[in-house]
Amino acid sequence: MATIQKNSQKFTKKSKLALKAEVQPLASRADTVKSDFVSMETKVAMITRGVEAKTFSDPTAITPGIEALARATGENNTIRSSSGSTTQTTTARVRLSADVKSQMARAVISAGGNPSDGAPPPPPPPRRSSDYNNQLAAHRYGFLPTGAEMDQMRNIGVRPWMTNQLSNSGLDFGNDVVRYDERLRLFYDFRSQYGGLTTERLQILYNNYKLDGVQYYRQMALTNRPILHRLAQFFFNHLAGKFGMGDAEQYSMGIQCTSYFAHVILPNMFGKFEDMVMAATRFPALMQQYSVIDSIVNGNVQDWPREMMELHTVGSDAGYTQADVVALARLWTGHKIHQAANATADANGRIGGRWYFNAAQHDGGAKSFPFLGIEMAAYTNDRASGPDRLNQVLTALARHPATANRIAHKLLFHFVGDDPSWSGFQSAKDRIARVFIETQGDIMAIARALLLDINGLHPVPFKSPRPHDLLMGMVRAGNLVTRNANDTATENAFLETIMTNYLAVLGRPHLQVPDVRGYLVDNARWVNEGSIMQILDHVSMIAPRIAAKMSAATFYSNVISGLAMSPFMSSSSSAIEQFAATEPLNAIICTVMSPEVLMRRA
Amino acid sequence: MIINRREFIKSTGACMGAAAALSAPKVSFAGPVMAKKLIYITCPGGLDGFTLTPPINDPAYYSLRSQFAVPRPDDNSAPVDRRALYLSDTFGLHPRVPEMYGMFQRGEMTLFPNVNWARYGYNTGSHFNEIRRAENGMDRWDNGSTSLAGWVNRLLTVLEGENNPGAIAVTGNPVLPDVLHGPEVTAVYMPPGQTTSQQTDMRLRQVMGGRTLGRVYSTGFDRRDAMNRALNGANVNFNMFSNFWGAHVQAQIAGILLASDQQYAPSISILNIEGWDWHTYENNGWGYPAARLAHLSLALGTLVQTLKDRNMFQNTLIVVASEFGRPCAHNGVGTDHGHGQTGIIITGNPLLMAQPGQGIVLNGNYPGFASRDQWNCIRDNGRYQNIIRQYVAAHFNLTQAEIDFVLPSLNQA
Repeated sequence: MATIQKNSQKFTKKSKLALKAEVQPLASRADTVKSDFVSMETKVAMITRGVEAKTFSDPTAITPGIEALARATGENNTIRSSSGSTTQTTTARVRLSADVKSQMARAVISAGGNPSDGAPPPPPPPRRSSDYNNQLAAHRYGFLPTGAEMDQMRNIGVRPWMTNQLSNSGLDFGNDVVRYDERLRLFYDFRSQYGGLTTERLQILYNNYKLDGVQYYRQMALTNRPILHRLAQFFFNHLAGKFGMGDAEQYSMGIQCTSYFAHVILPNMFGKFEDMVMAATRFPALMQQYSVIDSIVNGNVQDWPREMMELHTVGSDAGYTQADVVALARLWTGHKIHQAANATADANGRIGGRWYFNAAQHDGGAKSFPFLGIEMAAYTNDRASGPDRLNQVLTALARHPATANRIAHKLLFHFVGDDPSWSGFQSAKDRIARVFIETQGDIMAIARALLLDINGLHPVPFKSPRPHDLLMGMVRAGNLVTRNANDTATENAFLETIMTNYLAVLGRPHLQVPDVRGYLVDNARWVNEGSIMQILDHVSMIAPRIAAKMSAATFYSNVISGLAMSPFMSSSSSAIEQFAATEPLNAIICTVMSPEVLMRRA
Repeated sequence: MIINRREFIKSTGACMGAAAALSAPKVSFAGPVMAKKLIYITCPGGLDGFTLTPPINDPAYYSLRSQFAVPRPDDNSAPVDRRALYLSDTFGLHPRVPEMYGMFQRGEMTLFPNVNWARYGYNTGSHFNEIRRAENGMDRWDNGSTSLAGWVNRLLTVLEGENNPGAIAVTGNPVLPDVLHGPEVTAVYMPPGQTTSQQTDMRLRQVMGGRTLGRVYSTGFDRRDAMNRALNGANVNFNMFSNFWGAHVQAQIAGILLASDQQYAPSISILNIEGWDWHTYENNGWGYPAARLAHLSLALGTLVQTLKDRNMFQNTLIVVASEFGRPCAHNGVGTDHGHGQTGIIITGNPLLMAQPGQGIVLNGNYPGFASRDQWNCIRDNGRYQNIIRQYVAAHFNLTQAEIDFVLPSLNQA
């Protein structure tokens, strides 16, 4: 009997195996599919807000409208009912594609309610319908929406609110002091001194890192251009390098990340992508982390040459080979950092902590780059041209169509959704890539293409915010940083706690990265049993500060009410309204932990 | 003494179990089956097999590696504590891994020098492609795809009928590794945090609802509670948990959780010991690489001891893997990305243990460097996935169909 049972179990298990194997490729789409099952009951409840309740007491009342829309759009949808009768149940579920849902919802909004009853419904609450778009845009491209942002979007519209942020006039963007040279000179000065990087000297470097970081956090907390900051974070993440890894020396390099951000990423946000790449290749801490400075004619290091192609430009599936990697490694020889503390040029024209080129250590032999179609004859008598030749190859990589496609894909992945199968992903990607190619990587042109191609701001696949953005969103939406000089010291101490303590637990401290791919933003990495509890912990620690600043109802209203009460969604987050007055702390925590925030959708 | 894999199969009985699992009907047990555990340890960056298990009898190794080579055990010109430990006439062990050496001597550890995840010559040289290849176990890397599940998640699928409570990553980092991605419930362990009140918990469940986020939250809440109970009273230095040098703490936590009798005790744990991408700073083999190897050894020693203390080691299989190794030839200051790595299997399962002092396995005779190419590796010593596959099948007593689903057999050539 036991054997029979076991065989039976095995059969069941095998069947399950076969099923799982079939289902598995769909796993990543599971959430999209689930979202297409919109609870009719909830939908009716949402639609009927502000409308006579009795009009929609029977959910089948809107079924003809849904069917008509489905027919009109050629969708082959099915209407299902748990009881088998569409006239008796209130739990009927309708499977609809996102496009059909959005058309239906538009129809509902334009008609003011039931699309099929023909009666003149009262207009929908205007704030609610526009706040849906406003909040979705703010969540997706900025941080959590603030009260001021919501007012601004209501006044000028969501699209102007977004695109106005991409102008460089009156910029409040970037660190206002140029500390890069000082920081690097100090670092090389410490290295050259007796005892090298002692604990005390490391502490000084670390304090500088914290100072820079807090200053930048203040700017991020107070800015009226959150989209620009998110974009800068994206490009930092893309060219993250090796900040935050390894032993004391590597650590000391890692904490130069604030200078890297201020002097490689920010100044080039209004330039070309290739400018940013070139600036990165001359950044001393990154050159040292990637061992470029050790790469010489008879010993080239392939680390950055490989990752320049794989991670920073064309991507590993672009078609380059090991031959291209070796050729680039040979070309990338002789690049050095002047490891000294002199602030003015020495007899050789070198300044402490800055890049210079040592032609004697450059490989001037013939090179071939099959992937790029570039052939270089030997130039041993002209080794000084090495840096220009490197720039030629790096520019070709930075402008390559594969780079354009890759950046477009990453932008959509970072801002909109993980799943490339969502409706509109490919067309959006193609459009952004085309702009990239046409403008030779003009970053603001690419950003406009991203922002303007937002699929009508309709529901899209689930996208979890990375913890950095979530916590900064709480700081902004909770007004936890102000321009009141009396509060600056207290606020800065709190910001330092977030950037060095909270974010350390949630992956890595400010601007430091887990690996060369940067701070990972896949949904699955953050929405899992362990990570979500860590996020809850930190949300709970910040929530009391918000409760001391504003009412929970206001916070809820600014951050998610438009999403939670939208007819697009089937959310239970609107329940927060009911306990916001009696349980403000819970209401704030629940607002941030809601599906609207953590999944950027209901 | 070098034994080939066929001899290894005969001598250790490891593949008796594997062969039984692959060819015979599954054994039926009248009583309850004792829970088997797996710990999969990733070493991203490219752990250098030529430093961990140097081919001490091959002049080509000393020529290609020159100043970075690990001296022979009998090299009197080198300090005693820098000479390789003797494993066999062909291979030595880096001297900074005493815990691992002890496991080797007790038959708890078996080493497979120069095995590959990728088919020879098909290694892309990319950390991330090859990590994806290793962690999805389908010999594909599909850059940018989000559809590939990890092979450990597939293993959970086949173990599902045995009240398997899932797998947990104890990596010092809150992000879920690729190897755990997939439809089965997996989690990341993070140390005890804030206490969530009952009322807050109730509200969160109310707001999150019963869909994706609500399910993740409610299971996460319950699981964390159970894990905190399991770790309560254990002497764990949580301050080191997320530290670059804290792998031994993560190993200790993983061991305690796996051996606990709590409802949510996982069957599988993932550890991640990083820091192997040393293109430079090798300092003649005694800088960074030696320090990281010592740390790996400490973590493995801590893990095995934690499991032994809880009487769980005999039920546990530990697999250590990097995405690739380093070439034998150096670049002047260090080593770049290579092909073969040294596979490391550790277990207390009597069926799978090696003979004491004989757990070093080559596929046939030592091939040397006769066929040199860009990778400068010893060629054709097999694919690591096929070795892990045998151990996993034998350890969990899987059927052919099950192990084919979890870790399909890959072509050698």
